[in-house]
Amino acid sequence: MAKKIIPVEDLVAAANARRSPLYVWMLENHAIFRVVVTEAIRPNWAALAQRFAAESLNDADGKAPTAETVRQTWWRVRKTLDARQKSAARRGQAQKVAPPPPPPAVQAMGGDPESKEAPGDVTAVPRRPLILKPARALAPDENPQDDGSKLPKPFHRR
Amino acid sequence: MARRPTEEGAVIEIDRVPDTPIPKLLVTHGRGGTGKSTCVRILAERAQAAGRSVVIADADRTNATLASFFSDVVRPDHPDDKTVTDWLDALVNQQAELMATVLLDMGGGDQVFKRFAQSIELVTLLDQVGIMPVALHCIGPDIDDLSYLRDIEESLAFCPTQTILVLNEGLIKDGRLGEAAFTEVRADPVYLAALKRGAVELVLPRLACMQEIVTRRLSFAAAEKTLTLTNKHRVSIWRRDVDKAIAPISHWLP
Repeated sequence: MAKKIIPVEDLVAAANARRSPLYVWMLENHAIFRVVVTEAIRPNWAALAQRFAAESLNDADGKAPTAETVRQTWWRVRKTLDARQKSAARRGQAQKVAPPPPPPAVQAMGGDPESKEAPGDVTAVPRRPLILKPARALAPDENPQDDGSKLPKPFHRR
Repeated sequence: MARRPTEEGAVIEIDRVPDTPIPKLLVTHGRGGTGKSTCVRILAERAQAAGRSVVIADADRTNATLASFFSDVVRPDHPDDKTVTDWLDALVNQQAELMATVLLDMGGGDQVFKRFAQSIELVTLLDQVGIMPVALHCIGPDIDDLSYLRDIEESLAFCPTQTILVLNEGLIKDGRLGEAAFTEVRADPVYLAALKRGAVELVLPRLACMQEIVTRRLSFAAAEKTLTLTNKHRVSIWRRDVDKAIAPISHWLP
């Protein structure tokens, strides 16, 4: 049977489909945001929520985040990062026994030693070769965000 | 309406030039929330409706939403400066190899593209390989929205002849008319200097149901078919006005 190839981009998009823009931003910028929150004596979550709303970093329902949403989202991001860190540490122990060869994608990018992420960086992602393909507008039934109704989704807690 | 100033400073309409198959690299600039991704969506949908393929590259590190609207959107693996710079390098190399048209959406106030473009004199490089560079600056009525245009223009980082200054009427909050809301922006020396060197102004009309379309991740074509009767009509009028506004510079667009 022929091997099915699923583009990695599709998997990444699918994996993040239920994540809010706010969550994705916090995950991607966790290092900076951690400093911001840590250095504030008592973080003004309402002001942060306003700033995120101004950048359209909305919650999972596409609504401007509230102070509480921002605080809870940051808590969830920290939990995710902690879990990743523990997982990376476990992998690190295993790698000490038998270090695997670098992934082919890293080799394909030329292997610039400066571009390799520091060990222990929980956000480290191996580089993939860049493949350009013509984009195509997704039809409404291809988009998980659209529920097919003619009105915006009602408010609900997940 | 697209306009270009004459030597004397007056404004004239630009004649429509037929579409050409020249590949383009169109890069969006501006503060967060000024409509960069919306412009990419408009231009990508327009190109696709006409049967022209475009590659969408999303380097917006704070709000990468284009993948919700299009398939095969390319993004950097990681949002750190080094990764994004390497990714831009790979993107330009691949584009030159494929001679593809690319819409590149940079994040609000992003400095990585500016440094990258400056360091390799990107406009000159693209001209040499036969790719048309296009800069698209998204600007709201707030005078501070000109900060990124000022930064790019003063540093000469990415200032091709094909520069579009999009005045986004969707960002007018106090009910003023477009002409009045953008008076201050239009009088700014940076804005005037950009127009003088050949940039073109384009007014992006307001669409009342834009938020619903974004929330539901609809294409504009799909919105015209699936929203309520009145909103479908609003989208139809808006698309017609957008087409009219961009017609004079269609040869700069994908």
